[in-house]
Amino acid sequence: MRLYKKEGDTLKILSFPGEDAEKGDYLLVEDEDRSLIVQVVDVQFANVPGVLEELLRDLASQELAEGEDVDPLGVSSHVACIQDARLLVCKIRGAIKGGELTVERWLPSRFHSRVKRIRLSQLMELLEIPGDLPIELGEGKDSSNISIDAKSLDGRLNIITGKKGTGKSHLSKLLALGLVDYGATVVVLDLNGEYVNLGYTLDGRKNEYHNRIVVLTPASNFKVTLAQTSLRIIMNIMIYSLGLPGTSAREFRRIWRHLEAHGALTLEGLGEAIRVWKCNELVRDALYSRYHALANSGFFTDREEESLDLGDVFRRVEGGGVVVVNLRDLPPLDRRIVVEYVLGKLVDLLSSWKLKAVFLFAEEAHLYFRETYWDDVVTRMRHLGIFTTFITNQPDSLSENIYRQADNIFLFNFTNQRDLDMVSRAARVDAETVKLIANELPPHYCLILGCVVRDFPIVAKIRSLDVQTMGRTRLFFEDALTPRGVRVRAS
Amino acid sequence: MTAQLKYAPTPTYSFPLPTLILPEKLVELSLESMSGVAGCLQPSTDPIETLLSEVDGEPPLPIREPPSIRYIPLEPLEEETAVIGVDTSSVKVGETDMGVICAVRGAVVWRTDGKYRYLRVGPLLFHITDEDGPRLLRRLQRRYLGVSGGAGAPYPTLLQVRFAGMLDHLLQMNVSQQTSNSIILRDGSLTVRSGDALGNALPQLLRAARDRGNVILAFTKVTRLRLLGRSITSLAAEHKPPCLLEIQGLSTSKQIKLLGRVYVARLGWEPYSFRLDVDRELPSEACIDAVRRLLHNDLIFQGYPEVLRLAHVLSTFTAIEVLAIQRYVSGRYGLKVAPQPSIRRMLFGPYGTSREAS
Repeated sequence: MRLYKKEGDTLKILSFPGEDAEKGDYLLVEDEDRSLIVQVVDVQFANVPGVLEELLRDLASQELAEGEDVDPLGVSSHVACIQDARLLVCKIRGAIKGGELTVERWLPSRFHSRVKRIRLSQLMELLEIPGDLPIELGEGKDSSNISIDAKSLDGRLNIITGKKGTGKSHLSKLLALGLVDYGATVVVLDLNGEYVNLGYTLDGRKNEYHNRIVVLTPASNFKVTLAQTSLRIIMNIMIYSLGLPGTSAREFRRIWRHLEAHGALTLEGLGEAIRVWKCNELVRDALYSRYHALANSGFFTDREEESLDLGDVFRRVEGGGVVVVNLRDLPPLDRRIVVEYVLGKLVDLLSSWKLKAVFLFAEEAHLYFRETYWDDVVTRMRHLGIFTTFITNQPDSLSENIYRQADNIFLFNFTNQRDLDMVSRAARVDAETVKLIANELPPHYCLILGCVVRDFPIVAKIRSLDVQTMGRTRLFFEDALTPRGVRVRAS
Repeated sequence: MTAQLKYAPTPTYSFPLPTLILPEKLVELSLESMSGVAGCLQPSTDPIETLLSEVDGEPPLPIREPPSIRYIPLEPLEEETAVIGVDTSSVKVGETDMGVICAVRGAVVWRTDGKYRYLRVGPLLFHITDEDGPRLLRRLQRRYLGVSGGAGAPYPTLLQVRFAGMLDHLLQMNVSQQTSNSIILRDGSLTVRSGDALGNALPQLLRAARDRGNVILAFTKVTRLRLLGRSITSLAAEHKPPCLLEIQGLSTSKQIKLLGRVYVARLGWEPYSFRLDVDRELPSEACIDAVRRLLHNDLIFQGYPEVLRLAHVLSTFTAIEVLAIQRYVSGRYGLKVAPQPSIRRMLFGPYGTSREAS
C-alpha cells in the first residue's frame, strides 16, 4: 500500500488486490518516528490512466473476436492486478508520536511512509479500551475482541439505531445486562414486550439474571394509587399525556389539593369531587373525560394491596437489576400515562437520593415521549441521574438535538440515504464515515461511535446472548403448512 | 545457466491454424537477455509504442515520368477464403543502468464462417544493451531467417523494432506454412533494403505463402511514395470505390528492391486509401482476385480490413499493460522502480522546449 493523496483529514491510499482493506479497517501510516492512525471509509477503483481505454478495448475485442493468449511470462495477471488497483479513502483518526496517542496532524511523506494494517485489538490496547469495567460486545472483522467500558456509558446519552432486523434490541439487551453485571439499575421502556424474558435462557431455563429482572405490566402487576402519585406527576399526566387545557388544569389542581387535605385521594373520590365541584360546565366535562381516561387505563387503583411502590421495586434491584416496564398491548394514551408516571417517579426518587442513578433504555420513544422530554433528557434528567439510551429504527423520530448531544451512537445498517443523513448530524463523527460505512454493514454488525471508542469508530459483530429475546416478529407462515388443495405425494 | 520460466505448450487450433509453433528461441533469448538485468528501472513515462513505420518504414522511391497508373474497379469475388491478419507491436518499458527493457507482442486474427478469432503471442521482454542487443538479434536472425544481416546502428529503439519485426516475420511465416489458399494480411510494404536481414528473408516468406496457394497482401497506412509532390494515396480520391490503382514505373536500385506490385487500394466509401503491395511473382489477375476475395470475406471499415485492424488493436500495448510489465519486471527481477528526474528539465526548466518544461 502506498500513500497517494491528502485532502483535509482524508487520506487516499493505493493498494493492490491481495492487500485489501475493507471499510472500517484501521491502517497505520508510518512516517519516520511517528504514525497516523487512519480508518478506511470507502474502497474505490484507482483511477489508473488509460483504464477506460483498456476496458473498452477488451470489451470491443471480446465482442468481435474470441481467442487465446500465449503469455509465456504470465504478464496478463499483472494487468488484471493494475486494473483492479484500489483506492482506499481513509479518515485520519489520530496519531502516535513517541508511542503516545496525540491529536497532532502532519503531511506524511509519499515516498518514505509505509502503510500497514493495524489489528483492532492493537488499536483497542492503544486506546486503553476497555477500562476497568469491560462489557464484551462481540468481535471485529479481524476477530479481535471488542469490549467497551461500562463507565463510558455512565452519565451519557446513547442512541442505538439501524433498520429493522439488524440487531438493535439485541445490542440494547447486551448493554443492559452488561451494566447489571456491575450493579447498575436499568429501566427499560419495553414497547413490544421484548425484554420480559431476559431472565430466561434460550432453552427456557432461569439464567443468572433471573432474580434481577423485574417485569412490570401496567394494569396487571403494576398499578398505583392516587395517593402514591404526587401532584406534579398527576399534573404532568393530565396536561402532557391527556392534553388538559390550562384553565381546567387549574381547577384540577384545586380539586386534587382539596382531596389531599381531606385524605380522600382515591379514584372514586376524584370522580365524585369533579361531579360536585363548582366550576364551568365545559371545565367539568374536560375534567370528566380525563378522569375516565385515568380510570379506564386500569393503571390506577383504590386498592392499596394491589398497588405497587416503585421505590420498593428499585430497592429489590439495588445490587444491579433491570426493571422492565412492559408497554406491549397498551393503547397509546395509556402508554403515555404509564411513561409519564414512571419518569415522574424516577425523578422523585433521584431527587430525594433514594436512587443513585438509572440507565433508561427507551425503545421507539417517540411513541410515548412527550415533546418537552427530548430537551429534558439531554439536560435536566441527565443531571438528575437518568442516562438514556434511545433505540429506534426511525432516526428521524429523534430530534436533531438528541443526535448533536449524543455521546455514543451504535449504528446498524441503513440503506436509505435520508436515514443516514439524519444520523450523520451527530457531532462526534463526520458525515462521510456514517454514510459510507453504515450502508454496507451486514446484519448484526454495528458501527460504534463516540466516547465508548474514544472517537475511533469501530465496526463490531455483536455477539449472541443466551437469553430469550422475543424480539422476533410473529410469522403467519412459521409452521410448515401444506397448501390447501395440494396433495403431498409420498415418494 | 540461464534461468527459465515455464511457458505453456503451443496451443492447437482448428482451421486455418492447426498448430502455431511458438518461436522457442525467441522466448529463450528473451529470458536470456533479461537474466542479467539488475539495479534500478527508470520507468518509461511516455510509453508510446514505437511504430515500425516510423523507425524502419518504407524508403522513399522515385516514380519515373510519365507515371503509369491503371484504374482497376473491383467487385467482391464470392469465394470462401480464410482471411488472416498479422501485426506486432513493441514498447519501451523503461531504462536500466545498462540499457533498455522493451516488450514485443504479436497477434494473429483470422475470420472464418463470419467469426473472428485471435491468437496473441507475448509480451516477450528484451533487455537491450549496447553490447548484447545486436548480438541477440543476429542470433535470432541466423536461427530463424537463415540469413545474416547487420543489426543496423545499435540504437535501442531500432533494435526494439527489429525484435518486433522478427516476431512479426515468424508469425507470418508460421501462418503461411500452416494454411493454404488463404489471404494473409500484413502491416507494411514489400520493399526490401539491402543489408536488412528481415528484408532478405521476405522472398522466403512470399515463396512459402505461394507454395500453399496463399496470397500476402501488405497494407501501408502512411506511404512516402509521391507523385508530383502528392502522396500516391490521394490519387484514389477521384475514383469510385472499391478500386485499385496500379502504380507502375517505380524506380528501384541496388539498395532498394520491390518484391510486390504496388497499388493504391480504396476499398470503402470513406476517403481513406492505402498503399497495397502484392507478391510480384503472382500474375496480376491473381493479385486483383485476392483483393476481390478479401472484399467478400472480411469487413472493410474505413477502407481497412477488419482482421488487420483487430490484429493491430490486440497487439498494441496500453498504458496499463506497460505499468503491469514494469510491475512484473520489478517483482521478477528485483529491479527497483525509481523514476529519475529529467536532466534537461532540471537544467532548462520553464525555458526549455515544451517537452522539457511540462
